[in-house]
Amino acid sequence: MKIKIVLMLVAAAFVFSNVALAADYVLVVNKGNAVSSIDAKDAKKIFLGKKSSWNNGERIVLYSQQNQTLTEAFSEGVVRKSAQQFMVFWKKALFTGTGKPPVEVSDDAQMKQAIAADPKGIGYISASAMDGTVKQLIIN
Amino acid sequence: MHKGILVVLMVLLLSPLQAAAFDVAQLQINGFLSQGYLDSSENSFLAGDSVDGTTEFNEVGIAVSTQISDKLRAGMQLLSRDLGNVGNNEVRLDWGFADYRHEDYLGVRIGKVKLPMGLYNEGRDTDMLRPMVFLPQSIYDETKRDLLVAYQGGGLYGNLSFGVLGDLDYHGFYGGINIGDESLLINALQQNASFTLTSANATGPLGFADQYKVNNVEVDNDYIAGGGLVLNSALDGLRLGVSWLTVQNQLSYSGMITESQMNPGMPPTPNTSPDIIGTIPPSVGQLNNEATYVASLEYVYENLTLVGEYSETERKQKFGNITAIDATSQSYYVMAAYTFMDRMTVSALYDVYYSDKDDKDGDAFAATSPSRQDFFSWRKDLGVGVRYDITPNWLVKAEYHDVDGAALFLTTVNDPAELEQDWDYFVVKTSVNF
Repeated sequence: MKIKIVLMLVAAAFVFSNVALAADYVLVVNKGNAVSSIDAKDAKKIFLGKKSSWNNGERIVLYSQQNQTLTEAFSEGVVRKSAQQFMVFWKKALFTGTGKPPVEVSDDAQMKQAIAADPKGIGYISASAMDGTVKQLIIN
Repeated sequence: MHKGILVVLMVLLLSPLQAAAFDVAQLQINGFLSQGYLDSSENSFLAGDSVDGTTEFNEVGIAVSTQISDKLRAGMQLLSRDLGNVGNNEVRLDWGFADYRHEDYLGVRIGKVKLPMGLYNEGRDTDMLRPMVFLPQSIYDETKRDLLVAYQGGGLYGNLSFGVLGDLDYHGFYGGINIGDESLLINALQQNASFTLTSANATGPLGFADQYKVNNVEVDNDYIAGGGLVLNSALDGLRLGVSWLTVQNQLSYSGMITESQMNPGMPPTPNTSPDIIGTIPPSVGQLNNEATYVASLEYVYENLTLVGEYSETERKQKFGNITAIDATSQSYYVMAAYTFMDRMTVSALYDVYYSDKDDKDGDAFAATSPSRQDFFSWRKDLGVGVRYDITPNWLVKAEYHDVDGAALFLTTVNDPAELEQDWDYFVVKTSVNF
């Protein structure tokens, strides 16, 4: 019985730790963007530049943050790379001419400002910073 | 060719016709700068004075790019580099092309484009992209950089979804290449042409034969073609790649003929000032990589990166009607890198090259002349290194390599008679980028 309780507690801790990690960030787009949800595979391809346009044909503009903790959670959760691997991936694209890295903003406030002003933009913010100025993109 | 590409790019970037389509403020300018110190023992490596330690080892790059429309981008990178006698900080166009991405599955690049060979060739000039200072030399040989760095022409590329298998990046191309007069490849061709012509015309021991000295070689590229596929598998972090290319070049060469280096009829005493007794008239030859293929595997699991690549190259080299090389080289390496605390990466590499996979012990090669030793035909490099990212834009690397063998043109920066089989080198390098 004790073993079962311990196992349940460990499992609960694991689940809650992942929920907490997953809840750290949310993807955001412009409020005028018709897209409301996206599957995880497409989210990864978007942030690696392999899916470059929205369904209406317009180019997707990527935004990233200087906030290392948030970027680490985002990059591990969405593109399955560490923040450093994500940065090196885009520097390779930059210095070989094969892609344009995400526009870097300093924090949640700047990200919301940038996304609110850019109908083609997609970025990420802390879940706690979500408000009505941008639209959350649900990852299926 | 460079000038033509530059003109096209300048027109694309600055044309008044495009002024309405993009804002000049959208020009993105980035750059990098690196400085290294290379110190080898026994043999010099890449730089002729590396046995004494050299700081003639740097790169400076400036990249400019712009998004002209949703589907069209253009950009260029100027690169100044120095590595011993190569580069000498002359500014050159590293890449420069227009990129039209019709859809994610199909795009076109026109101009000078980094060549997709193996997993890492496209990023070979940018130090921050890799854990170690040099890419594994068996496949990404610095001495053949001019042959392999970029093509001038057109390429098709894209990304295709393969369902449960993942997605596939492809890039096929056709074009030409430029080979600089000062490259180590030219130096190696002069050496090989001299040896080949002297051997072909000798009636007795080579030391007592008239010496053919080829001192002027030019390489005129016919074409380069190839392509690469990289499967980004559904298993996160696993990439599988295969790439193939062919390069066809015409050689033109000339030189002089001197009398024997040895005095006939005497004990083998050197003739220190042989007379010129003839000329090698302007002649033609061939330098072909009939086929190079590379098979690649990279697995990244959290902070651990494991890489292995295997390659073979069918090489043909002819001076006039005389075949100098008709062999298949073999290259492979395994590398592991682990990152601690986001900033510190330690790496280990084992890298092997055979200039002729059918003569791995070099016996047949050494039998062609007493001046050629068997270990000139292989290179086995065991290296360990550390990289520390001081900031996201500033890093420093240090590494040590223990090497067995003197293949990959070591004869071009050393006196072949003085080459040692066992040698080592140490490199430290720092890079910044913005």
